[in-house]
Amino acid sequence: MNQHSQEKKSIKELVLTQIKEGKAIMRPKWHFVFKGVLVTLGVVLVTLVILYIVSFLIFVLREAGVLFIPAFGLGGLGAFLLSIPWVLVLVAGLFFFFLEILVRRYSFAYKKPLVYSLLGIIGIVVIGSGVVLVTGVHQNLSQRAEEIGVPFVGPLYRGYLPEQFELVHGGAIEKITDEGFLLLDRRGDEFEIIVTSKTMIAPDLELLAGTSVMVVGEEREKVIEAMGIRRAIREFNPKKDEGRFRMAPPQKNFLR
Amino acid sequence: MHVPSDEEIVRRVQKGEKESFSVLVERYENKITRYGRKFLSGGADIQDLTQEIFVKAYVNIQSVDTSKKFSSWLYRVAHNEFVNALKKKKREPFLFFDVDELFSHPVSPETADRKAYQNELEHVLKHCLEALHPKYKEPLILYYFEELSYQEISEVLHIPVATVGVRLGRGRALLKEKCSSLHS
Repeated sequence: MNQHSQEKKSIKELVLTQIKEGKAIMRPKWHFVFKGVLVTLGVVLVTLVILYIVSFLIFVLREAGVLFIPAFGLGGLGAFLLSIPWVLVLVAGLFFFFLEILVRRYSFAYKKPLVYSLLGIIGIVVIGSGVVLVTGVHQNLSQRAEEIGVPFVGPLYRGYLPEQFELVHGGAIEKITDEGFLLLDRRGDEFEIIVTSKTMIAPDLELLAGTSVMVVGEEREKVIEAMGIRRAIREFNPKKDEGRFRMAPPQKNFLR
Repeated sequence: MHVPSDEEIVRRVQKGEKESFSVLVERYENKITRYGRKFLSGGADIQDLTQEIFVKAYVNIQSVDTSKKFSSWLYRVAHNEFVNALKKKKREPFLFFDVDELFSHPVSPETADRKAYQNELEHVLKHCLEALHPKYKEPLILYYFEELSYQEISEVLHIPVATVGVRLGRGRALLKEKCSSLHS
């Protein structure tokens, strides 16, 4: 009987009963304001994380000389793809996806085609990363991470040192040999570099003892058959262990 | 006699006049029930779902921006509830990113095509809607049965206005296709 009368009750009555009995309680205004602030903070935080990761990615690739190796042709491009820290790319991609989800909550985003918000985010990331790189934040953090250690991000900088990139080797020419030269890296490790007719050498580079160079090629038991060689921007001195070196940006007709 | 708008009533409820909420329930009870019945094509308990929608609307009424249409907001609440019910029913994941939403599309004038298709489609819709994917079914229901504008559907479904046009167009084509196959 009771159930029958319940079924007969209109939706209006049922809803009002819930309100009157206190089963349905109106959330206060501040709840929604707080939620809005949290989402906005989330957007800002995730954007900053993406900017940090992308600029860090460009920084380590530039520092290691990897950024310029596609100039060595198809082989260089292959080495470039193999050298990219894909884990970082994946993490950046995940944050990018998360940011898109957060941004789509706003009417300015969902009212426009998806491609607009994606392009907007890409634009912000490109410009923002450029700004971060210009400020030299990574340069400072990297040096501090090596010298005194930096909490949280220190291992990140130590994990992506230039010598971690297996296909790119930086150092100073120690001695010219019949087949090429001996390369001394900043840790004092010696590599035998084989220069063949296929090796692409930057035109401004003269292979002389003491010259700081970047060599692209696979290392097998301290022997590297060079795919490409170019001058490092910073002078490299294993004794002083300056530590940081990078390749010169590509020039016109730099390949022979 | 002055009939208060939905937004005026919402403002009253927000200020503490709980009883005024019953006016909103009265105004939208049938519309929301009809929307749910058509969208979910039976199976779920529409009465319970409609009740739940109004309870959620009451609980979250402080988040309503009264400078915008309340009906769009309420339909959005209903959409979320129905989509959740559909997910439970079919265990079919809803894609977050949709190809239709990816690029910009030209928007066709809505008044002309509404009149042209309305009579023909209302009849067809009743029989063939069930066979349609929710992605296409929902804009058709909101446009032809609930008589919402492109802009309002965009607000309810959180998709660009141009995408509403695309889905309606594809929905109509699919509907005719499904219907002819059902009849044959």
